[in-house]
Amino acid sequence: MRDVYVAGVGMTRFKKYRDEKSVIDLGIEASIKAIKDAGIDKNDIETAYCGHARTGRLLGREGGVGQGILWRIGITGIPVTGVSNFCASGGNAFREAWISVASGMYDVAIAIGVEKLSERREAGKPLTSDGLELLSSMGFTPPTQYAQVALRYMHEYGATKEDFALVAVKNKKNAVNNPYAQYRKAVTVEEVLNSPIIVEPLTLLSSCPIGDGGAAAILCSEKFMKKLGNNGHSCAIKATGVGLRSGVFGKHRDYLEVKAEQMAASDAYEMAGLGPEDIDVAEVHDAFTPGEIIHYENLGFCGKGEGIDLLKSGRTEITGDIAVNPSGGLLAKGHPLGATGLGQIAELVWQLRGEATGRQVENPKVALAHCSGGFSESPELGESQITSVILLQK
Amino acid sequence: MNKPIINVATELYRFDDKDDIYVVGGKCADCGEEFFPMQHYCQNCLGENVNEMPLPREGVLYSLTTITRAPAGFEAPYKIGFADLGDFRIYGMIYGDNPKIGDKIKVEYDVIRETEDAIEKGYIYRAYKGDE
Repeated sequence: MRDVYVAGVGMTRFKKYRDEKSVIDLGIEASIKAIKDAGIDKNDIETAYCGHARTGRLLGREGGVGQGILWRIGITGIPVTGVSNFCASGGNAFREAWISVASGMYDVAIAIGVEKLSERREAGKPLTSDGLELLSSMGFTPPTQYAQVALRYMHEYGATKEDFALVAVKNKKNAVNNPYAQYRKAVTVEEVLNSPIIVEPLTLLSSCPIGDGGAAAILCSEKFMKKLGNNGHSCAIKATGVGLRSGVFGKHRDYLEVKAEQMAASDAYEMAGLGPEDIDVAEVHDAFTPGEIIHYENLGFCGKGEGIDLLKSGRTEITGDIAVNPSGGLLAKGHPLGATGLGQIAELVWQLRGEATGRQVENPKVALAHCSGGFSESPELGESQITSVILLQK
Repeated sequence: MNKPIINVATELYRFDDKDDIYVVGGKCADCGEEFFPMQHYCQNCLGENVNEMPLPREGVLYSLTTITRAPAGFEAPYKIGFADLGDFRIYGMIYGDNPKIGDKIKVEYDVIRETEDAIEKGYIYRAYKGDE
């Protein structure tokens, strides 16, 4: 395997675009920004991967979204692969692009992630998901998974709703200074707890918003990166670890111990020759507040049952030694499913270069991006978890 | 006019000769592997010699939550969660008075939701306190 660099990144602001921009428009904006950020010619791109979890232009499940974006910016004829893997679609697209360059097959690849959720047919009703028809017929909704994580965590470790609310307080405070974030308003613990309940004990402000967006990254070989130069950026960013794992099916599945996550993290750390103690800044999948707590534990930032203590210690604040979600995370920056993973990559590249104005972590050297997709149960009733972990270094 | 009753998620349960409902898994006659839901090939040895295996009608609640914003066709609030039926941790809608993690449940046949056109039924968990 060859070294792989992230030469450029770009993203749209995450928000509800409704009639303003289509899913294709969002992909175009992100791709053009990434191409310009890298300083490449669009014709340098030899292969493309496009992650999207749900939406084609017609809001169905059709493929071809990547081709739809790229032909409008004159990139045609190259291999374009659609990647659809729940909330990890963007992280998964990045991984496939990484492999295409690391293998030596291509020198320059683009990974794109897009999603448009604001126009879906049942807007206002809870989001359902593909492959959950059987569970949905018995009343299941996706947020109930993290609600049960929260209640089980409270049952096992005595954590409180106030503890989980602190995740939203931290991440929403971070988003105030992120122009790409969907919501940029700080909140208090009381506001989080007093907002409408979605699924006990998760309130509206304990949950990520529904929104739209696009994000993209240009990946390239060392040879190409040297030829290209840093295009005015302070340093080159190398993607040194890439993990992707699916869930392990077992009789007594533990909602708090996510094997896919542990294995994906372990793969990425091993590949990079690093451990969780080396991470300076991370973007983790805080779709719901309890998620960030169990992700701390499963990614190895702390031991089992120690997530709340880590949060309260302040070490995961922007000023801490392991800053988590300086962008505002999914909770505030937003969660347009397929775009999320590449939005994390964009934020972390900016952090490593020192370009994250207003929310900059002090001189980070190693960054971790984590997406947790799928469900502990289903398609259909088995184990559909899929987790991506990507390590970036300057 | 009475609405028709439709059974949903029918691949997950059966009725015995007394019309009592039970959740159904599978067991491989060759290697002994047990799994849920029932399928025609063994997950372990990949053989085809698989028989249906009734799961216990009584179990223990592992996790649960209350849905207060209902998806289309459902009426909030209602409770859902996972119960341990023997060795398997399985999803279900939960009925009963103020159920809690650790409560015992019985598998019963009851209403899942009522739409404009039909009453949809299937298996549910009815929670009860241990001393009942």
